[in-house]
Amino acid sequence: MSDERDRADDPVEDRVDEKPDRTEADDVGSEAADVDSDTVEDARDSGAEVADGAGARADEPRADQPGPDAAGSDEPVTPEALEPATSAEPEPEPASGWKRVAQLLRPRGTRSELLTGLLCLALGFALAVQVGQSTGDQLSSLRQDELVRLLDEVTQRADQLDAEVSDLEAIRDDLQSEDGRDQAARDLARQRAEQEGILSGRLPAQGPGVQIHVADGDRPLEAQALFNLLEELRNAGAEAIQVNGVRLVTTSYFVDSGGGVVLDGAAIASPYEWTAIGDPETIDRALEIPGGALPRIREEGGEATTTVSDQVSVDAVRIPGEPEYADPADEE
Amino acid sequence: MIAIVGLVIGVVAGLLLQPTVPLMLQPYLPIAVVAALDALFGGLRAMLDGLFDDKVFLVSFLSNVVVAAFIVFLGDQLGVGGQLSTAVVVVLGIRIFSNAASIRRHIFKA
Repeated sequence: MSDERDRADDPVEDRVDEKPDRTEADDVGSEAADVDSDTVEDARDSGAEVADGAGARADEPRADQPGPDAAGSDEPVTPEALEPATSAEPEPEPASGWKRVAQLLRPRGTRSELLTGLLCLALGFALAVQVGQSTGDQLSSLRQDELVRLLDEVTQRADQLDAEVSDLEAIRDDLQSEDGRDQAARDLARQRAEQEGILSGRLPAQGPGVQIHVADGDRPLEAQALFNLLEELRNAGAEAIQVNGVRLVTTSYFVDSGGGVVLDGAAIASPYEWTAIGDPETIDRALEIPGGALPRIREEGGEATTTVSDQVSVDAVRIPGEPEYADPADEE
Repeated sequence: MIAIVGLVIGVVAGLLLQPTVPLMLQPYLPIAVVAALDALFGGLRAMLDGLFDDKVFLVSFLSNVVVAAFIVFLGDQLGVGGQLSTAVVVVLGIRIFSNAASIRRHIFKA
């Protein structure tokens, strides 16, 4: 051992020159050089245990030395030569790196190794825990401000989505109400078409009303008498009227023609069977008014009877022609 | 050898136990781990240099961990925790690399 130390002096200096970065290198390495002196002092101050530890320290590198030597390496070895002198210059081991690693790996059971093993255990434990932590839950490893930023982003996104939802709901409501308006308009149009269809004679109709039986007496009834009856029915509010299967509309006319009457270009003959839909009482009273339509028919010798009914039906229809001259006026 | 065995045991224990890190320590654990890695590489290099000393290793290990965690803690209090932890990781990473380079020179002579 001792001659190894002696031999070591020269290469040590070369070694230091080779590695100028070691001076600036990590504190562990440089401290190690510094602390050697401390440990010696510790050993001096405290009891056997510390001395033992210091001894172990001193032994440790020495134990490494025989490896390279035994392998026949003539490379200069041994930094420990300077250790007792507490040299500030670190002594690198120039021996083969792998051999040195192999030596380092050899368990020695010293306090140093146990301590290092303990620290490495703690490190490995913390490493594994941290890895598990960061792979397990992404959020839990984030910092507070990052979490706050994340929360802000999520909140903002939620607000955007809320706004989008309300926009879409508004559009949907618009569409629905438009649809409703369209439906209402269609309903109204259909209703009006029905009303006007009944009034214009385009649609069959049913409802309360009267049936009037009018027959010629000794001489045929004139068209005038029938027209009076029609006008009387209209005055009384009849909404749909037919005579002998002919619907009476606004353009209907009665014309005397020989022994009979022509209604809207079609000859009709006695008996005339009228059906009118309207308030039965009003129509009945209006027709029977003294000097009214039916009394005058009776005066002329005709026969006229009225039957009031809750349900009569006017099933004759008339397709109204296209107005030749009249155009719809502007509503305004 | 014992160090490697300890490291393996620690990793296995951490993986098996999967303990929950206390909320207070969560921001500092990764930095502390990096700092401990730095100390570990430094110790390895010192060992290869023949300068390893358990006391130095212990002190540098613990102080690295504590100082790194404290810097990050301070940064958190100052509102620059994220940036400061990045800075600590960068510095420790550089040190780890330089130590690794030194170890590499020892082992591969290159």
